[in-house]
Amino acid sequence: MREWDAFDQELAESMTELPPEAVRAVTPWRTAIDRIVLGLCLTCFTLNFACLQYILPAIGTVNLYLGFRALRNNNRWFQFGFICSICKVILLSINLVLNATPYADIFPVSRTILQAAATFLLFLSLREALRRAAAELGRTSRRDPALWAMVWYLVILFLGLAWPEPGWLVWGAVMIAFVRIIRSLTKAAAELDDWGYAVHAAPVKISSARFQGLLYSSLLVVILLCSFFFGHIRLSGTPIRQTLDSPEAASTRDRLLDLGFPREMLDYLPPEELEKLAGASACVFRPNDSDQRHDMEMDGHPFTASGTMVYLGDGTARFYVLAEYDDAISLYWQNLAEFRDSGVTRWDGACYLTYQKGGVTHRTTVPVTEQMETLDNYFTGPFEETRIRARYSFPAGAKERTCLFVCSLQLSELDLSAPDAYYNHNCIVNFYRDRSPLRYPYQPFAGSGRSRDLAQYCQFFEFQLSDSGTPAD
Amino acid sequence: MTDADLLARLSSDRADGMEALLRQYGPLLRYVIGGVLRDGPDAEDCLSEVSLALWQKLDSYDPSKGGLSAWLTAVARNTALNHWKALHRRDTHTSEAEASAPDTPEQAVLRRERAEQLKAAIARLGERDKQLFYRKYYYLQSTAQIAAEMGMTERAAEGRLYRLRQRLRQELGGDDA
Repeated sequence: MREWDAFDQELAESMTELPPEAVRAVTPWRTAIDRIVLGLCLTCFTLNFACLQYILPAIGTVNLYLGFRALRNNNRWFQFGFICSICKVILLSINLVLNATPYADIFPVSRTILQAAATFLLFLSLREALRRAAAELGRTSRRDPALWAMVWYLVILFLGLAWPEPGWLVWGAVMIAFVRIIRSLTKAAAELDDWGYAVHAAPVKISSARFQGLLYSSLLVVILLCSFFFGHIRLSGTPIRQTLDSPEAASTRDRLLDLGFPREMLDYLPPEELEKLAGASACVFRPNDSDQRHDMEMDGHPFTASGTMVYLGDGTARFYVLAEYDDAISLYWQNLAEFRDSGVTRWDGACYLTYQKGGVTHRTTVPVTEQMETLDNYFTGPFEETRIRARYSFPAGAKERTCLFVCSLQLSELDLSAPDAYYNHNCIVNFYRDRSPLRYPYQPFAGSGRSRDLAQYCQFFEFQLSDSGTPAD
Repeated sequence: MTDADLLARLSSDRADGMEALLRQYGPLLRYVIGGVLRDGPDAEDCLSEVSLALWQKLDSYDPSKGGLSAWLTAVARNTALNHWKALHRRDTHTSEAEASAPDTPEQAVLRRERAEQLKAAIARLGERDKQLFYRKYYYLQSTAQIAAEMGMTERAAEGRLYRLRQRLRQELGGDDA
């Protein structure tokens, strides 16, 4: 009223009646303690669906921070709780951001322990702060819900570590106990409403609403940036230089051409692959014709693939699939090539990308994963096979992009001594494209999800031994 | 102790009941007075005045019209406001008669109409603006106190109060200055 004009004066003087809302609503205590209780509720449970495991703890942690921030100047336990809540906000931010990167698994135990410790200390500081507030009013509360909350939290931690699946009955009991504790905590806080009038709300440098807006939006931006950054696999392509083949390589090249190895695919073979084909005794080439297969397109543009099986004369074959992408297909995010045909022993996978950028052709080798998986066949029962996968991205602006995906096959069923030895192999190679990098938490593209495109190379290879023991098409 | 217990104690032994009432509601009274009178000794003087006013007016409290805490708030606020006005008059050397000349009947009618308009305008405000208004014009709290208790910066509170004031000025048909 010190520097008020007539209008302010009029407003103040016309307020003779008591405001309709309860006077308790204006004390800082109620809002702050409600925030703390809500925060503890949201951070103690994890609901693993619809991203609630990330959203609810984030809201809860921010509420804890804001609640303790308002009360931090009232006693040292509130101040301690405020420090713990800052730690919790920092840990939450680190966890949320790391989840958007391939480094989500670094120090998982330490991070979990720190989170649990921070939550436990928050319960402890709340208990001590409430006791101190009650003491200042000359009261001794009959309830000690914060103590029960601490015990409950220890039980939850124990269950999580020692008995992860205790059954619905135990979880039901845990939930009931939690609801009762929270109700009791709310009542205990309400009993201290009178103390709330003596509370001095700490001044703030940033408004609660702005703090929430800034934190949530900055986390969202960082998470999106991480998703975009890690959604593209950086591969260092090196320009292909024209060099003269060694005499051995030149001889292998000539022999492969004689056996029917397609010339256009031969140009994509790096020297190390040529070396492996030195003992080649037969080739079978199978192009995939887009006229015959409906799924030979990607992103609405043509996608072509062709396969060549090179028999190496020792019961094994080297199998090559060359995928050629149309320039209009966007391949900046993750792509996946995968051998899907089952019941075949395969190993020594390799993947080579070539592309043109700035008028120069580049080649890069993609790391390949070989993973043993147990599969179930309706007719033959369970069996094990190695799944070979390669994940790659092409740089922005790259043209004439191809992926040469290779593995060795064991033609195990072929009895090479039999005069009518016969081998057939139905070969499927899947080429996936991820349309979007937005996947939270981060996970390597596995060809699943709604944002994928799939183009499939599928061909039937057939060999029959000739008299010389060489498979003939 | 519940309000009913307090009232029973006050009717059986007023001195003892008053002591219990001040013990229970002392923080509330101090909180309300502290909003109007920010000087510590003034606020303590006012608390004594409020205690006296409560002693005198306790019989006029009607539980059917509202809770005890609401009534105590109203007594504390009005006593503190009168206390502030008295201090203000002393500082500006004006007499009580000069400062509060009685309203003519027309002025009284206008004032009532204006109060009704204000009530309607407040009812249209959002919850947060409503709280801001009551804090500023009912509890007469400082902007710093309002800002801290509502989790805002002083600058944000000032800005929001300014916009609220402009809105009320427009709705009540005042000038836009």
